[in-house]
Amino acid sequence: MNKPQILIVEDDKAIANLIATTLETQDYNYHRVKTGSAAVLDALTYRPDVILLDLGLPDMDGVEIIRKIRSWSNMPIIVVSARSEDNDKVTALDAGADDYLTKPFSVDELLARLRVALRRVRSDSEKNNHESSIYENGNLKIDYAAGCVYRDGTEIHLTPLEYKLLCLLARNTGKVLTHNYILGKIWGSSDNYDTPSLRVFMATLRKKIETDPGHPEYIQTHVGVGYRMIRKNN
Amino acid sequence: MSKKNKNPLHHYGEHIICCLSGAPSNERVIRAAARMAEAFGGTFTAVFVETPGYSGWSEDEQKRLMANLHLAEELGAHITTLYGDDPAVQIAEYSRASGTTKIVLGLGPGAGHLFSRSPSLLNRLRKLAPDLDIYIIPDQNADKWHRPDYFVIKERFSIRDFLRMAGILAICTAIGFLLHTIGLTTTNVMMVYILGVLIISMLTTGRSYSILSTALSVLIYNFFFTEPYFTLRSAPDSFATFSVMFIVALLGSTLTTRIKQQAVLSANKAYRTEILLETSQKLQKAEDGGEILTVAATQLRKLLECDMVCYPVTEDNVPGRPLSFPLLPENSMEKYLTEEEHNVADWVVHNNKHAGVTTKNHPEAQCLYLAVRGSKQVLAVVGIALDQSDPPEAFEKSLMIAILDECGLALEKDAMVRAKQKVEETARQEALRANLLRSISHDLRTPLTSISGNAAILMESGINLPPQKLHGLYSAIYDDAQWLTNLVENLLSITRIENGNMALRCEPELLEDVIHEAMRHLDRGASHHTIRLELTEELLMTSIDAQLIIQVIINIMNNAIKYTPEGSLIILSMEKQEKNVLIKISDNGPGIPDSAKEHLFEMFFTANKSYSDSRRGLGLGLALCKSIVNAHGGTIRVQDNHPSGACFCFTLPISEVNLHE
Repeated sequence: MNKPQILIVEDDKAIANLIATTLETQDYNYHRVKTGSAAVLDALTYRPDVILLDLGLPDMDGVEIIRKIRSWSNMPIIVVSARSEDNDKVTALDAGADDYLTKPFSVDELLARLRVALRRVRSDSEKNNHESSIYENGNLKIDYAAGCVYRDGTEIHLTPLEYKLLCLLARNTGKVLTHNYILGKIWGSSDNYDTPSLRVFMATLRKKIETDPGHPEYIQTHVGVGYRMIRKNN
Repeated sequence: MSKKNKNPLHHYGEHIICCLSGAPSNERVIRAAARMAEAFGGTFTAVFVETPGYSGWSEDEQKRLMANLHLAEELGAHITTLYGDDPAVQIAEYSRASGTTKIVLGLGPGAGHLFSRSPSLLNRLRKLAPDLDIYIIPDQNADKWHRPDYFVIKERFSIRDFLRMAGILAICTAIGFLLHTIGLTTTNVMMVYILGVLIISMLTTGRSYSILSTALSVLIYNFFFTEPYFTLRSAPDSFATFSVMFIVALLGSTLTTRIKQQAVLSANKAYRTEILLETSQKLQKAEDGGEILTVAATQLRKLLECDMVCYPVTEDNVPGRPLSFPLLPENSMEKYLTEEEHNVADWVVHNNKHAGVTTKNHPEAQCLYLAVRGSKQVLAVVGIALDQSDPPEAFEKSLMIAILDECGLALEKDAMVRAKQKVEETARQEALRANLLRSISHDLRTPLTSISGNAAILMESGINLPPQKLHGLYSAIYDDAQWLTNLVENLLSITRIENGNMALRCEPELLEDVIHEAMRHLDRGASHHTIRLELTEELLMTSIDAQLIIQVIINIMNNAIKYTPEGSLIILSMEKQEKNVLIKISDNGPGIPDSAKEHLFEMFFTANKSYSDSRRGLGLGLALCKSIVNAHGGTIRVQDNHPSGACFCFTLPISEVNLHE
């Protein structure tokens, strides 16, 4: 397989250097730009596998860039920003970003998130090749046709709502789904009225599919933001 | 007015008073005084001296007095009523007590010689209050208007009083005959009559009976007891006796009548003083604006026996949510709380005039709306649901106004105290911020020096150093950077709390999620400790600002990691109490000395510096934890862990979950 192509959009030289060095150690190809307009242009011409995007750019707001790119491409976008408020995260994720990393971040964390994003690209391309009614992720298996969920080969019994939640997360594996997004998809409303219910169902669902709910393998909680299904290596 | 009651505000500038009366020219005096008060930027009080003669005023005069009173109020005057015989004495007393600087008087063209007043009010005032500036407003119409004198007081004829008088005179005559027949001199008889006249003036109301009885007793004495008997003729030398008898009886009866009037006045005064004193005592005890209004309204309700409505004025200068005070608990207040009524209250706030029933403005309203005035603007509006057929008497009205004035003063004082507290609070925060900045800049230098120093070594001679040394340098840089990161997180949380009055963004969260999230952000040193989570089976939902609570858990956990030797056991457990969840973080380290426990949650406190490998700390962490937990309605405390170590506990309220499928 080809070396992954990463587009780094970052105006701060030190951070850009740090990211570039990190990518070099992993043998990734990268391309660096400093402005939003250049980012949009290079996303089109360079066709990266993943974009690492800083929100505070000199010429335009990062959320604006996400919207622009999302209008024509589904490529993974990981936001790397010093804005640590939950609101900022949710705005970026709702605009279409896949993941959100706040500065200061650790290099390991960055690489882990990159791998998640790359796996999504790969599974997406596989999915395009042969449309499957079976979802497999590690030891977790969903048979969409039969409406059954298996862990380690044994069937797990889920309530209809838990099943719906799991399918939604599975279809968006690798992507952080915000509370509002999930509420809108499952409950059909995005008012916060149902937020507590979402938390509880998520917790019960996790208890059923995770071996150790304290250290989840599949469903990650982003407190104050949302949830994500992690793609596991087979 | 006693010295104690003097208004402290009056000392800040000119205090101008003018006297109210029922005279037509009084309007000019009031306007002149108001203009003067405005020109001097001083306070303005209109004083009405209620003399014993007041009850005898004609209806026209009373009406004019009320009109003048209203005018003075509209022009922004405080209204004060004084009681006494002599206006000059009362005004002089009042001006001394209230710190009055200027007085405005209206005087007729006769150089102050108002009919029946000598020495004139002006001259007496000059003598009684020599340091008072007196301004005279000439009154060209004074001739046409004379203050009614004592002798023309209208009195109602009362059969009972008349019969009493006749009866007493008859008894006196009977006793006189008795004395006469046993041969005593007529002088004794005269004494009996004088005694009778005194008794009459005591038992009847009004001076006319005493005067009439004096005249009658002289005539009867003349008729029955002087030669020639049973005629009104008498020897010329008896006239001297008659005159003396007449004068003595008259003086005695006048004095008695006056004492009676004084007694009524002083009873009124005592009642007034009592009510005002009670009001001001209660007002002083009131702790905030709402309570002050409640006290004033309750007192007014007691006085007037009406339903009451109070509108506090908000900061935007509009009437806020009304407080209602029904006379009887079952009274319906709804008709007083309509939109229309609110609009009238709003009108009062913006025009600083009274409105509603019995006034010219919005007479269609349900209540009489009175403004509670501060020195600059209306502080509240009191609505009194007056019974139109029974308007309050002048005495009640003046008391009502006095209570409102007291209330205004109290509200203003309350506002001032509050403003002062705010200033103090700002100053305190300012001091805190300065303190914070000082410690930050000091504490930032240390890790920055270490980072830049270690990096410089690596750049210059990195290749020549043995791997172990290199690793030491790397980890020093990493640790210091980590420390700076934690500091920044805490600082961010602090600015959030200090800036926006603790603007919490609470959302329902599962405590479990929050704890797991916090565990992911612990210091690197955590790997050298055993950390055990003891979570409840039950899912506990709390409405919290997740970021801040995560910060609390991280701070306490990191402290436990920092202050306990490697290999220690740290246990985070949670326990459901009635409406709270108790989160306990305990360690088996050396524990915290009792002396430090008290100050642990104070800003800039760092415990046991003696601990050799303890890292520098700003002493912000726990102070921050305390403010965050308190803001969530919880409590935080530290206690000893058995057998050794420290235990930090904090509570958070649990929120109920209703599941929606």
